[in-house]
Amino acid sequence: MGNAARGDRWITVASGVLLVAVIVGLGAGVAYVAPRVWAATQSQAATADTAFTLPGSSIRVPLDRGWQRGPLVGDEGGTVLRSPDGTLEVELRTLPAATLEEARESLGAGASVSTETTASGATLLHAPRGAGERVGVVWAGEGAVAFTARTRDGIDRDAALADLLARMEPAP
Amino acid sequence: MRRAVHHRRAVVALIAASAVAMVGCAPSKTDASWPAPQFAPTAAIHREAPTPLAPDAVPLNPQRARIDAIGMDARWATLQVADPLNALVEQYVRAAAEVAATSAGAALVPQAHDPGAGLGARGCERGATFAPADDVREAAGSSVAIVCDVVLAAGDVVAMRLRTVGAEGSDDAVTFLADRGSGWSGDVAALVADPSVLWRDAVEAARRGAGSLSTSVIADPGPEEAASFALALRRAVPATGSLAVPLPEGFSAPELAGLAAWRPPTQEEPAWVVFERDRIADALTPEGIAVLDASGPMTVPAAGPGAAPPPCDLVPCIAMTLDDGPSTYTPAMLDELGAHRAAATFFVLGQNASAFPDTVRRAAAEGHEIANHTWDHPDLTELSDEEIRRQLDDTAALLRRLSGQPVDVFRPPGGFVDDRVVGVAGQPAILWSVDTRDWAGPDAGDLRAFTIGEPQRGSIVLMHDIQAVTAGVFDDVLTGLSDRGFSLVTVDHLFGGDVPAGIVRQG
Repeated sequence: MGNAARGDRWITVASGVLLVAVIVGLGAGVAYVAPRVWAATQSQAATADTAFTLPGSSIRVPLDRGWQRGPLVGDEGGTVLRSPDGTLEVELRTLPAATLEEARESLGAGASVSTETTASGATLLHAPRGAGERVGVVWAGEGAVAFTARTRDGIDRDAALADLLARMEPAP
Repeated sequence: MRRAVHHRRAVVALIAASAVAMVGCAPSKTDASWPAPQFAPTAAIHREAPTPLAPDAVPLNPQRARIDAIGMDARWATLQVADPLNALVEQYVRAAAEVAATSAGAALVPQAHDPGAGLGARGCERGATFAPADDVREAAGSSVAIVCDVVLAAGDVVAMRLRTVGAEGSDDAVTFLADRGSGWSGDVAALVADPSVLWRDAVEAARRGAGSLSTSVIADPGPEEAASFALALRRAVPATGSLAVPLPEGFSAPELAGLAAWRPPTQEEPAWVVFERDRIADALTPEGIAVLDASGPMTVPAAGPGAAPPPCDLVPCIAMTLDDGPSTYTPAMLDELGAHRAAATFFVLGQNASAFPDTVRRAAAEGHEIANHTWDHPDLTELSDEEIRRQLDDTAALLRRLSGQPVDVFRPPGGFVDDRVVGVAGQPAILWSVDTRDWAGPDAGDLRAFTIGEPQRGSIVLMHDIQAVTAGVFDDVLTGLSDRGFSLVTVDHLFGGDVPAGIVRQG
């Protein structure tokens, strides 16, 4: 009888500890996941070719049919684009850079920053950052858009990113 | 006990709730069939040079000219058969030698060297046109080095790359081609009708390789860039189905200027852009299409050593003359001449030609000169005019029939000749400047040393292909003369096809 009581008490304590751990973990998970869940629910797939302009930016961003667009967690004006096959995700933020140099410094990538011109004539700064990730800025004189592009599973989606960037242009 | 059960149910419920939440976070539906944009295919950029062929992939006449007065060591090769490619190659070497001579303030005079000079190593050394410039100069041991590579041998097409590494950092190269099917020959740049197409493709390849995210249209090259690229095209290496072009050192373009990962080619780290034939077909000339389409076993034939003789204004030439044959020794001596790519002039006796007609035919077919030495070796000065004519005419008729060559010169037996004999003969009388006296029973070692050591540029050397001692040392003699830098040519070629009238002793 004494042994049975001790066993019951041990189960009670263990269950309590497990319960607390699960509650803490779940709380943290919910805090992290909830905004994303919310963002995912807000994400919409473009049903036709369309375009948008980020708040505070003068750059028009084209969006092909099938691309998904949703809010960017932690950045009210930002947006996240996902390629139709889900292999490329591009976060876009308005960058309050007055000069090209400021835009360059915002990348913080030092000498590895490349400077190019897009097909639409905007200045494009970009640099690799880790495996499958690129950061950059599309700068068109006033107002700039910063981007962070990530690919999944090591798939090369440079051409898709370049295609997206190529058609960004100063809003009319 | 019931409380424990209650706790377990709570835990299970929480885990289930977590799972539901994770499912909610799962990626939304994707379209795996999305045709993701792709960059247009481009040429490929390699940091390694193309691999040349082994020089023996093509039947060649290897050549070498070392001229100390102008600090030049030139190694090149020509096709064994007569071909316009040979003239292009020799023209390149001559031009480079003239520049070296001007730079040195000395005349361009072919130089023979002392025995043991080591100039028997001739022709292309595989990879020399792609090696670092310092290595090329050091291997040559001279301030100006000319080297060559065979870079293509397919079907009817042969391509040879030549390079001149100069004293003051100059480094020039060009690839010459011969398409024996069409008869076309020229430098590789002539294969490209629109270099700007290749330029743009090269820039596209370079920027993609450097991680460009731009899709802007690539501008045509400016005048300086176009000139630099045109020079690079001359150095290109054709292959079956592709053309490899070395990008100029420091190669850049507005589209590359801002790319952090673009490393312009340097001497230490060159860059080659390889264009696939199908991608640049519209930018090629018809000759270019034919060259890049060439495939299969190389068809350029081999030929005897006299078929495409060397340029005696660049290399020290001498004429090896062999009298009184043919004999049973002659075929082996022909083998040795062929192995050394050396031509000779056979002063043949009519009576021996009739005894060994196949040997005469063979010697002629291998490009050696067949010349008249009378029918049976009389002292012509002792004969009447009529007898002289009969000795020479009967022999000439037979030799023309056997050799298919004109028989335009004669050698009077024993060297006995006077103005009357020359007048009756109506041909140049070819004597000699180096008499080896091999007929007088010399020691083989003495004969070998004398025959190797005595000749000077332009010498006419007298030997006999009926003497056992001559046949015994002949291969060593050819090796020794080659080692001194000599090229052995026919009498006719020694005089550039225009042998002077009268009695001739020296070229």
